[in-house]
Amino acid sequence: MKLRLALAFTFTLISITPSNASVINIGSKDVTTIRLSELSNRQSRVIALANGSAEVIDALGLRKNLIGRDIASELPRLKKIPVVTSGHQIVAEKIIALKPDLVLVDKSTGPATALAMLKKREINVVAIPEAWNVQDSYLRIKAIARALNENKRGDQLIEKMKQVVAAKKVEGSPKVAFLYLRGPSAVYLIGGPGSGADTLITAIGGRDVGAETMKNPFNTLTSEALAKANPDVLLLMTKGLQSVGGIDGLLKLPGIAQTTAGKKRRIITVDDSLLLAFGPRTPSLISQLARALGSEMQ
Amino acid sequence: MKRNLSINLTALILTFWISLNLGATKLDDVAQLLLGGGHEIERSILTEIRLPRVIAAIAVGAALGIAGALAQAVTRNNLAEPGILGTTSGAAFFALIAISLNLTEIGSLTLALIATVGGLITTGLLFYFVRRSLDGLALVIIGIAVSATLSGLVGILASIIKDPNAKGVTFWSLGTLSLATQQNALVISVITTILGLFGYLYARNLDYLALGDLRASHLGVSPIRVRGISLFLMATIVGFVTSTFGAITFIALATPHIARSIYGVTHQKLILGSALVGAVLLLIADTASRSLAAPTELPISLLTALIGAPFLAGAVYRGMRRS
Repeated sequence: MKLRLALAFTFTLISITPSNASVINIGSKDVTTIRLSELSNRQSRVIALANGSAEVIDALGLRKNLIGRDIASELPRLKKIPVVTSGHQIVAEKIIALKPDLVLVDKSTGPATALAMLKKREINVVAIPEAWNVQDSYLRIKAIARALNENKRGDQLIEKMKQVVAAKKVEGSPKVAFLYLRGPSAVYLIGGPGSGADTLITAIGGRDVGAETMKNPFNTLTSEALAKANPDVLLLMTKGLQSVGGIDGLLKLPGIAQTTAGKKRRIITVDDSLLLAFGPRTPSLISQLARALGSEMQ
Repeated sequence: MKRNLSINLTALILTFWISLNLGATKLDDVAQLLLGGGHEIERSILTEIRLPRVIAAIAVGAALGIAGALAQAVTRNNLAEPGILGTTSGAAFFALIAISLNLTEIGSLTLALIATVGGLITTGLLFYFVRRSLDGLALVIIGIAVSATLSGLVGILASIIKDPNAKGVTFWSLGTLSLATQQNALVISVITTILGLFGYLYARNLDYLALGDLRASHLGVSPIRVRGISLFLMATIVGFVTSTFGAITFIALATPHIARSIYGVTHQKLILGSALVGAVLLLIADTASRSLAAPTELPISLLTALIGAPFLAGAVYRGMRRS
């Protein structure tokens, strides 16, 4: 009898395949890039190594100047421009061979020896600030425009972005948790203050439960603590959801199933390179996120 | 015996209650929550996350304790345990092969059976090749070599397979009870009860085996059959545990030594005692793993070693002084 019971339960376990899943995915194609008209002449040879900086240069209408790009700038329009980083590390040889006038870097560009080698060859290396929220993204655009001697274009792009960013906020301040998942585990990385996702969630009228309760930009959290935080909606990266085996895999993880988001299957996923890009695609992403959150809460 | 048993049972009940009250979140009144009162979220944290995990820890601890006692009995070797005999790594290796071929998924009955076969084949072959000196050092050294090879392959497979079911290297080398659910906790409890009961009833044959193969044969007990049946029991236990919760180490090695120092060498008592000691040890280790660094958690196998080692050393030292 006991064995039969065990078998029955095991098979129930295997056959729980949730239906009518309601994951809203926002992919690269769902957002529009805010872009100025393109200048046709090349003024200088620029290599953009700072995260997402190639995307900004393209939006400033200065794509013709780009001769190398960072790995995070993945727009189809930029596919022909070679990636000169290996992961987040730069390869000095590749960069020198392209004979650039200007190289844009940020805090995470390394290694230092490679950068020193570029400076020794009298290549103009300019550090630009990183962006973890919409306000930062304006500062970054200004810095990039200044480095390319196109201050006016920088201001124009920022003005254009500001017009779009005023998205309609969702009512009722739903609780949203941004989870960074890489493979199934019952210990989660939850976004806290400064994760980047916190400003996006606030911009669309949500409450970021991670930012409210945690201290660091990313925090580990057990299943119990996640259940206790009880978010109404989960915000994930697209590949993050895939890494746990999609929504079926996600709902089997202890802690997720007990939250309102898990019970009602309210999950929003965003393309990995888009979510925390904070560039010319972000205003459109915010309106899409607001729409997604609104429809999940209906 | 009765006194020891009641002390051990009291320890288990006490640890059980403390475990229910400790965790990443503070639950106000566990008794009330268990009876269906209190806040809904707190109740679901207790009944859907914490209680299944506590029950899984007890069942897995008992199961590994029994597996360790069986391993040491059939080899008459105090260093034998499923980790050294290749049972665990064989189970993990076969499980990962099945996952990479898309045959099944973590936590399923099919995977547990495939892992059982893996453990059975590996340890069976090891026993066959070292059959002349099962109680000697050769078994341990060749066993470690086989385990290390398979663990290396498991590590490589777990790193390259993209399937979410493959989990990570940590799962297959250190294990975790964090994925315990109501369903898998029930399955492992039922399996442990059935196999443990069978082991308990079969234990008299292990006493004959302890007298040596020749004497056991004269007493009408076939050493090969006893070893085969015990090996089958051990591999099934390890197959279920490893395929659901990964490779939890140290419990199977330490528990029989501690149980022997409390309950003596008769195998019925030893199997019952190993189950109880294993359950208490793993429950303490798991409670520590999820509450020491809350709201995050520490790998369980680090704590099984940390908590079990002093007990192991104490038990062996006591035995040494007695003899």
